Amino acid sequence: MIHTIYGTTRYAEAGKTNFHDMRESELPSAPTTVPLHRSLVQELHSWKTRDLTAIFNETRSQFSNTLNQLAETGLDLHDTTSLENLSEVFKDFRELETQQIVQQRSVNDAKMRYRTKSDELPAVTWENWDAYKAGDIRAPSIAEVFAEVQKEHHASPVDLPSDTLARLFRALPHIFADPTCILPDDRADDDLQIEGGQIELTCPITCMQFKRPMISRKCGHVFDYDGIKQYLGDQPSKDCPQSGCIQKISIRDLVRDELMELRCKVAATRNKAVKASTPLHTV
Amino acid sequence: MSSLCLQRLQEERKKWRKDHPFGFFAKPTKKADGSMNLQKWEAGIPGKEGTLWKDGVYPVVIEYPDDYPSKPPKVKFPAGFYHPNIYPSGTVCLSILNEDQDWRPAITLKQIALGIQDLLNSPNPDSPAQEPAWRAFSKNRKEYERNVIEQAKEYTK
Repeated sequence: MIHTIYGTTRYAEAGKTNFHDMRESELPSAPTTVPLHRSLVQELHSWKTRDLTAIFNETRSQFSNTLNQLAETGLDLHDTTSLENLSEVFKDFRELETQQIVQQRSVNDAKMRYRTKSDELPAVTWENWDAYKAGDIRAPSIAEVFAEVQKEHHASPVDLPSDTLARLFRALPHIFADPTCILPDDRADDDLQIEGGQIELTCPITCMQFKRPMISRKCGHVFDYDGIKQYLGDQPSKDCPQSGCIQKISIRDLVRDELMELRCKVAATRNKAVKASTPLHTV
Repeated sequence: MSSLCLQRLQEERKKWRKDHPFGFFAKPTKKADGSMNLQKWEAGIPGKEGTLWKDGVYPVVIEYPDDYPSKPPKVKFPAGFYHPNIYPSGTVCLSILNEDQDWRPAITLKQIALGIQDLLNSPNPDSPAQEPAWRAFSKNRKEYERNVIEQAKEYTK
């Protein structure tokens, strides 16, 4: 009984001696495919897409930096070309990210499907050799399974989870036009701090311009780090400082609010631009 | 005083000067040496038009504790002020001014001032703070109204 037959390699070795003497039609044929042998499970397992997380993260932080630089310095209120270009490039980047995810899922699913199909079949023996050869028992081909899975994945496009950077890019054109504007995404959410249809760029605790805005993941209210830190003191959690909010928040519920940071930067740049263009005698 | 308290009070002052409700006033008091005491303010709350309180502008003193805005300010009318929810000492009993109830650091002077104006004509009979006004308000409304109008004359605009 032969247990170690796998694919065509072994056959080629076995038939090597007579290979040149035989005409093509006389080549002793082997099954096109055989089930995965257990000694090769490890090899199948190691078949993976390259991990690009580090590269993607690095690219993200580059995007983030460029965005901030644009908000702080290179901001031309009348020329939005650089903004549009950056947004285009970001769109391409998201597309690549999506492709990577599809690829990764395809590989994983193909591995699983191939293994399952393979496991359902009997191991190759002299008794079933002919049946495998004739195609009466058909073992799966990994290439075919992969192609099949990939086709399925492409048919149902993945929705990338909306992350902070993507939200920043969506918000950009609005914020550059008016840093205190309410974003279309948020209009349905009337729980935000809105006064006269504007977003306040000051912390409700310190009443000063945000320096280090932190957003509560529980209720979406934004506070400056110093203010909220002092308010919480050494207590594990307290009522949200916003009046009427029923959430209890702790320092762990607060994350950096990059959207508010961007709003403040754009507002500051615009103020500077206004001041610079105001003739001295009108001051 | 924490730096946050002082900072916030300076901003409150700026905000109030820029925009405050009509008929109200509020300003920090002066210390003995003539410098500004941001932790103690004097303010005037006008009675709402169309109410028994309309003829008066009622003086209050607002005192901000060192841990403001984590803790609420204390608001006091003159001692003996006639209102069901004001203690004999003049201290206002209002949920937004109570740390254990509805006080939140985001509440501004403007909101407090408007809240007190509201309280004048909408007393809460469930939390009495003085005997005379509360008793009259619950048992003898005519007498209560007379007293309120009488008091308004003491604080005419």
